[in-house]
Amino acid sequence: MIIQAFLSLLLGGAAHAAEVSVSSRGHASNPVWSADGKYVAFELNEYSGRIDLYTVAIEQGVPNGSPKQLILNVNASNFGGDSGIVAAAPVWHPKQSGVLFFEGSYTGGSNRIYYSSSSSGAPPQQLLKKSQIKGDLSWPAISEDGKKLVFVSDMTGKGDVWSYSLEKLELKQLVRSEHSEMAPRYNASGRLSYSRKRGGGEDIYVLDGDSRTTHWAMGNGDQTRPIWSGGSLLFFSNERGTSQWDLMVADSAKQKRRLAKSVRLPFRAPPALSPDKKWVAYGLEDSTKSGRIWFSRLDGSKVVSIKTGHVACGEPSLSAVGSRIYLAYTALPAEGSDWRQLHIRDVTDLLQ
Amino acid sequence: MLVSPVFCLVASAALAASPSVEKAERLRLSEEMNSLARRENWIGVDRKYREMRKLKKTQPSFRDHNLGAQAAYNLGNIAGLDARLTKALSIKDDIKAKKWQQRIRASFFRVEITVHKKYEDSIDLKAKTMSFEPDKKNSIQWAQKRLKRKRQFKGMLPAGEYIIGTKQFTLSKDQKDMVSVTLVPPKGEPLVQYIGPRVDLGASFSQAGQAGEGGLNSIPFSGMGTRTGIGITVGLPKNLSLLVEVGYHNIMSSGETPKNDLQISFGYEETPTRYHSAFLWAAAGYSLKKLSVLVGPSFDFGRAQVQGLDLSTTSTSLASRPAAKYAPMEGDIRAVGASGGFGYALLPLGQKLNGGISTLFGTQYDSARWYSWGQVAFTISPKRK
Repeated sequence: MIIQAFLSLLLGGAAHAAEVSVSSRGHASNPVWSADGKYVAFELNEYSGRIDLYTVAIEQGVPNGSPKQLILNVNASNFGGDSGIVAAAPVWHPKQSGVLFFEGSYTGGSNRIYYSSSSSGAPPQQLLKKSQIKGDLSWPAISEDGKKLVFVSDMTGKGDVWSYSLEKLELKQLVRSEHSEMAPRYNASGRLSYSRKRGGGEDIYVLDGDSRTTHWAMGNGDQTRPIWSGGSLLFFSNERGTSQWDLMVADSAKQKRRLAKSVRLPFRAPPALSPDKKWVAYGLEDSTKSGRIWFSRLDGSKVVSIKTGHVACGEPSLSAVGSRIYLAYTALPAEGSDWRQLHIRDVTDLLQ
Repeated sequence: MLVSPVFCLVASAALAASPSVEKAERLRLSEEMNSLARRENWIGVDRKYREMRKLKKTQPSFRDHNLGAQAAYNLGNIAGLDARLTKALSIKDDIKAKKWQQRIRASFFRVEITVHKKYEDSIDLKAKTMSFEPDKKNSIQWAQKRLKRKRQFKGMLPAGEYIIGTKQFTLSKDQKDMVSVTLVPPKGEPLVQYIGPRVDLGASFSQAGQAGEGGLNSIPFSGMGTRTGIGITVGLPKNLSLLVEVGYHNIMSSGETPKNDLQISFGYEETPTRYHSAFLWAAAGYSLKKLSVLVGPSFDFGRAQVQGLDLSTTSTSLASRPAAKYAPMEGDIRAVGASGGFGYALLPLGQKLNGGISTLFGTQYDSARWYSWGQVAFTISPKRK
């Protein structure tokens, strides 16, 4: 089955491959598709304390124009000393095209959540003022209906989970503990998943309603970055060893199973689900397999892959535009290359 | 020694006004603006930009205007943003700034809201739907602050429906001109709320008291009669009213018939009590639902005929006791006093009048004696608005 799919891709998909070129130096990472598949946001990280955020318009799987950098301050890039400026962790609004939220910070400043609209032509602005909520704000995610933004604030010391109603403009603290909470995400029915760093490891919890908390997934090491697929949670786990990350799924509390072993842990993204939530994409650490992006069906019935022609492939992200399914991923052009590049491919034939 | 300080003063004044000094000041302010912008201290950036604009011999650069525009944008001052972008674009035809201005002008619309100084209701500007988008949210909050501080806002707001005080307005892409909204205090309650006739008609009981010293006077008298008044009621704010009424008041009762021998011997006759007076009553009233109360000064101008001389008001030598008892007395009365009463509206008489019942009473003095009376009357009065 894998061979069939692979051949199909070689025959039908290669014509739809495209590279997103960025003139600046840095590793392309964390590509995130907009809900309508018209944009991809991604980070460029030179590992010098500065992370830039770019967006690129995509049309029929091909970049339409050059990537545009989201600059926090219109003048900031014109003066020296830009290191320390971070714009990262993009999240597209699921209902409003071109509306993007992301984490941003200046040197020595707090990490805040910013808003940008590709149609406004205006520089990004802080979504929440410090008079509304203080501290570092991180891990933004939006509910599927686009009505709530959930994020983590360290205002009370350790990270706690907060929700901001984009309709009522009201803030609400959802989770408060003496531990650090991370990576909160709503599912369609309003259940909230998040991970909590406790002792030496990170576990996954689910909050139903305002107070019913379930310890959903646990084990040695870290279970982290959960993402919903219906009522199941996908997440990464390194319970086999610190640097051995597996892709796991838990269909119910404490019922986890392994979908893939030794996957390449994305820089900050959760597992990459297909729009129909039947597939999950990933790269593998194994150098003999890292030239491909792999896809597993969530029910475990099928595994397929696509040969990319690149090395160290990872950080996949999937989107559907009409009947087409597009993959964004990052990879090194070849062994010894300086920077990871962002690529777009049509994987419709592989996943249908 | 004198020359040196004077020279220094002149030199420093010349230096202070020189273009090079102002240019250096502009550069300093420009650097401060950038430093503040990096900390996202937009209030500070805005302040420095305004300081820079005060320099007369040097002008802000494109970059200064652009950063000033961003400060205005983050503070929600969209009209300020538009003006600063216009200034920036007058220096350099920058595509990015031009696109930004075009987008702003397509999303935000001009409005002027003026609140009269005597307007007392809420001036809290409310958008029917508040956007989470920071620029739109900030612009509304900026307008709210300006209105609270200066009772006026002239600027730009996002498209949508707004409510302020009693006014609603809509900003839309279709509008070409500035929308003007003025909040003025509601016209005060009119002093005169209503005017209508009042009629009091009913039976009365009246009595004249003991006369004091100072002249020939009749004995105290009393009797049933009628009292009829007609006047005008003027309704005032806060349930108050004024009444002016004129009327007629009488006593009609019989006298005492002398015994036959006295009639035959002395020609004594019965003299009925007759009192006829015109009165003038001015009163202030207060109404509470159907109940009303009135009180005010009243004047009586009457003529009375009674039987019996009050011997205490004259020398006993002038008349015998029987003669005094049957003596017909007649005279004019000019009395002043106060009248008042309570009324209760029972039924509507058409759209403007009520019919009800009143209990009225009064007392007057004519320098010789007190007169007092009470009345139960059917009253027609105007409906209170």
